[in-house]
Amino acid sequence: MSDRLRAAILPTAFALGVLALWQALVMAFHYPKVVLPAPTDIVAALIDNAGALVHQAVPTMRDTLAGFLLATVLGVGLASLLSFSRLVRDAVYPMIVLLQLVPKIAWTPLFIVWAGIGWPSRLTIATFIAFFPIFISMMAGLEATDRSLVRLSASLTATGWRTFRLVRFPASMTYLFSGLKIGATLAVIGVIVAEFISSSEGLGFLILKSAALLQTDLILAAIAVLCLLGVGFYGLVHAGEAAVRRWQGE
Amino acid sequence: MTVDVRTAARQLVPPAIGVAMLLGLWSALAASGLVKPRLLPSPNKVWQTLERSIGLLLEQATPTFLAAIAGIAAAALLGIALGIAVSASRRLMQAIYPTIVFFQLIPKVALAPVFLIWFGHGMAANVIFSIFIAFFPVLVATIAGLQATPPTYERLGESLMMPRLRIFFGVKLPFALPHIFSGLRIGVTFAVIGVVLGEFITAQAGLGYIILFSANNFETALLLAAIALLCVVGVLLFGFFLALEAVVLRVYDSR
Repeated sequence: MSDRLRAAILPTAFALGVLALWQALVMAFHYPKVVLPAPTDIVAALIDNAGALVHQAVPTMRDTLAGFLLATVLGVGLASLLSFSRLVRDAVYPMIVLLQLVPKIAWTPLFIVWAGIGWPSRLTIATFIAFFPIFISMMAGLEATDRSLVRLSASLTATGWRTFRLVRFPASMTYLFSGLKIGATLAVIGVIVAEFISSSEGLGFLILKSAALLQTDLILAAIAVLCLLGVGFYGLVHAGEAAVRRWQGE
Repeated sequence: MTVDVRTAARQLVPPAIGVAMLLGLWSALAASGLVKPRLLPSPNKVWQTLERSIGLLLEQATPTFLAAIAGIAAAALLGIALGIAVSASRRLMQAIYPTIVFFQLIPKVALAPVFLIWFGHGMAANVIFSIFIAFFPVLVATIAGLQATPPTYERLGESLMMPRLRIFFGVKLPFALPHIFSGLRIGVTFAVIGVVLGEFITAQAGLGYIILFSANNFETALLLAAIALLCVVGVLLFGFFLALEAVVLRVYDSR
């Protein structure tokens, strides 16, 4: 068996094995569906509630995407601005690194107080949470630019802006995308938590409502949809990175 | 000596100015009346609330703090142990690693209500959920770290006929430690998030409960005070792991 084939078959077999074991355990011990629905129960719930799931996935995805895009614009923009002034950077950067350490999800109720229980608060939370990794990785990328390249362009009398646009910005793409990938997963988390706390729409709302009604199969079906969306979103960022790489001719 | 003072000043003065400007802006905004004090109380008001309610806040911070410690401790043990076990066999790793990566990508916080159904609405459910969330970054970092040994070092150990256990502790583990600690640093913030999220949903005790309770009652000053205290909890735990990293890495370097 070739190594590549094995790298594809082994994980698939493992995942299928886990699912089969789960199904067998539920069937053998007759766990109540409330406690642990079998994979087949979850598939049945997915099919039965397909309409509701899609309906609730739309606002979740909308807020996530909008928050992520806003966080990208703000993070890249602020990091770029700060890279022009050492003094401002030294003043702002430590504060943001410190904020990176604190559990920001816990601030969600604060944003709901500020922005209400509608979509603006969910958008703000997603933006707030996704902003930090994007900003910090962009900052790291701009700092990590090869010094000799920067000196070369300075000695070729390039202006600060030209150096930024042609040298430093393109050189920071690898860092930026690693931050974007973290930001993408965090944006989903932010929206879900906000929906847990205040919303009357979205997958987070559906999950909490199903929990209150002890419909565990529907919770897990909603989470399956959420996983699909999360992985799809991550894949989108990954594809964006590949496109930028190709465009940069790497 | 003067040089040290100057570099220290350069490192400390600009951030201090940044914080002072932020607080100034905040005070000005609160004093100007543009923002309702109900939405944004002045820093002074938040400080007073913190002083006045410190007893209550500390009482609620204790379960949060303890649950987060339990969460990260168990997640660290499980994550490192499983990472070592998985790394022992190439086939096992090929089989399991993609599933682990998949779990890294999906929004695990969405599973919080399921954990509450399984483990009830007490502190135990919060701790277990916290372990679940903090476990994955530690596991992934351990696996990545154990692969970080340059193959030549491993081969050298083998050709010196070192037993496998000694290669592990003398060669592979030292190379893996920086990775493991970076995983622990992520894990410790996740552990706090897991606990607070559980407290949001069950709403019985803890700083998460206070945060949600004060938000529902528009007691924004108390809300901000509780968030400030939670930040202290987060930074304390993070600082502990930074210190542990410094100590462990020094021990390993001096051998």
